[in-house]
Amino acid sequence: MFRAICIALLAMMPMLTHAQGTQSLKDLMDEVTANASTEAKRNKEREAKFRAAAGEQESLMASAEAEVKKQEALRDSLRKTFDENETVLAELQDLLDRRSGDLGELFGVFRQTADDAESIIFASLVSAEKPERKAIVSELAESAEIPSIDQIRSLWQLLIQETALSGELSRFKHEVINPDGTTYDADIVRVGAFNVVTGDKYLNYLSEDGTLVELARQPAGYARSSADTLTSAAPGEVVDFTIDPSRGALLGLLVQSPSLMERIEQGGTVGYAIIIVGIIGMLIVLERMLSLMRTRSKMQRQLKNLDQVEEDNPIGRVMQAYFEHRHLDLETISRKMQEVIIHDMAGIRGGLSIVKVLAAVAPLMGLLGTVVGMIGTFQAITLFGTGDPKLMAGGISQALITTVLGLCAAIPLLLSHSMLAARATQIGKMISEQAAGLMAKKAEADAKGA
Amino acid sequence: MGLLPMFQDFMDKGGNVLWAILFMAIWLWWMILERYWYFFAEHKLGKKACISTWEARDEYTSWYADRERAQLISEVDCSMLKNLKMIPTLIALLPMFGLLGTVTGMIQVFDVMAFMGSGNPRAMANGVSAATIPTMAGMVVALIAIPFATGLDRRYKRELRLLKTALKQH
Repeated sequence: MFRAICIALLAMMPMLTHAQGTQSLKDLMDEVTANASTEAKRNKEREAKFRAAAGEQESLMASAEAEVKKQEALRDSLRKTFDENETVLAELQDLLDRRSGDLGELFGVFRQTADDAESIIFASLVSAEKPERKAIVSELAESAEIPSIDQIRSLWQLLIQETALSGELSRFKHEVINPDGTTYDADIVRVGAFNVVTGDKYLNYLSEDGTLVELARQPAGYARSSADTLTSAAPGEVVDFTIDPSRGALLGLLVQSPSLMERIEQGGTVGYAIIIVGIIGMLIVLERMLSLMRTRSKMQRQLKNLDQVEEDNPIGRVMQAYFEHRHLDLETISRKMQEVIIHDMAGIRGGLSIVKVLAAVAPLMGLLGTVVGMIGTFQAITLFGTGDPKLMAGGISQALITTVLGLCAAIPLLLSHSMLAARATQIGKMISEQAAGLMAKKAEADAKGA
Repeated sequence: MGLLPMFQDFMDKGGNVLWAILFMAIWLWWMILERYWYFFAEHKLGKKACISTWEARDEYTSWYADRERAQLISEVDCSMLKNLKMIPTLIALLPMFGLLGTVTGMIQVFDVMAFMGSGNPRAMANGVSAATIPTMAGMVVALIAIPFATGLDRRYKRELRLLKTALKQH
């Protein structure tokens, strides 16, 4: 309070300087006194006011504390409720678990089965005939909610239907894609979930877009004819049919397996060389066979007619040699006849040794091809390692195919060489012994008659 | 399983080459049986006719007689030799067919490996049986036939010797 007065005094200092004289000082004195009393009065008021406020604060404090107490009590009661609820919840969960029991497992199984069924039905040939099943099964497989009884039932029905249809034969119309890309409508016969055929052609089912494609390479002839009999079979008739138990996978591989020409190409240069050797050998064999047959038939004719000498066959030539030299002694006649026989035998046996050599060379060339192929394989291993068997396949194919080709060339050549040699030996015996013997008999008879 | 389905199963496992081996085996055994039949029945008649022709001659020493003897022997020789040389050839060819089957079977195995990798021995089993069965079949047929072939060859040589001694040159 004293400070307040001092401040007020200092604030009046300029006024003092302006009011010059004693008069002004007295006024100032009065004024200050008056001011001081007002000030004191105001201060009293404020004091009273502060006192009152302090009392009020105390009551506020009390009420706040009461509020806190109340809230704490509420908190405690809520916590208690919470704890109680927690136990109730646990109990209820327990109850729920106990009551739902196997159903949780059931839903898991349902989802799994629906997924499996989706892949089965999408890949199944039956879907070519009944494409609407795909939408149903995808909906079942994709639904994330707990399945309803209807959904469970429809999955069950789909599976039963698939099982039933996979055991029956049905005919329907469908679009078929040719290997060259054109399409046509055809009468399709579906054999369970295993094969689809139209006419004598086997079809492949592409599950991605539900189309039927004619296989570019069809299976063996008997399988195709069995498909044909199946297509044209009357209702109720029992026919044989060649089935692909892998549901089209084996038939699919068939398209990739190389044809005969592709196999021969795998043999490479060595393979072609072996084929040429085989062809040359077979041509020689053919020529020899024909010429031996001709010689033989001419000889037979000559043997039937020994009176007239024909010069177009070995026996005739032997006879001619005898008749030309019959005036000489027997020793000379024998020599002359031997000469003719040796000359003829050279012609008969000619070419046989070449056939034998070619028959021996062909497997050796096969071996050469094997080694060349192995070199190719090792080259591939050097470059790429053994990680990818497909890179090595080219060399291995060449190695195997050339062996096959070598054997295929050698076997008929050996066989025909043996036949030709036997025939040549026979002809040789006929010329050298039988002709001479017959002639001797005839000459003896002539000599006796003379 | 009946005998025929078992046989069909065996032939299916062996592949195409096994059919060729079957054909060769039938051919081979047909020839062996035919030769045995010849030596047991026909050969005796031919030999008898040959000997009686020779005995009918009035002299056995001239050049004419010598020629005729050679002719008579060669006629019998020719009919004895018929098919005889084919038997060893077929016996030699049968193992070659077996080898052919082995190689084609190996090709089959490598085809399967190219498609499925080497992790599936079940898929390869078909090729492996196509590789091994023809080899076995070829070997078995050839081995069984070898004693008969050598027996026939010995018989041929003995009969030739007997014939030569039967046609005496006094």
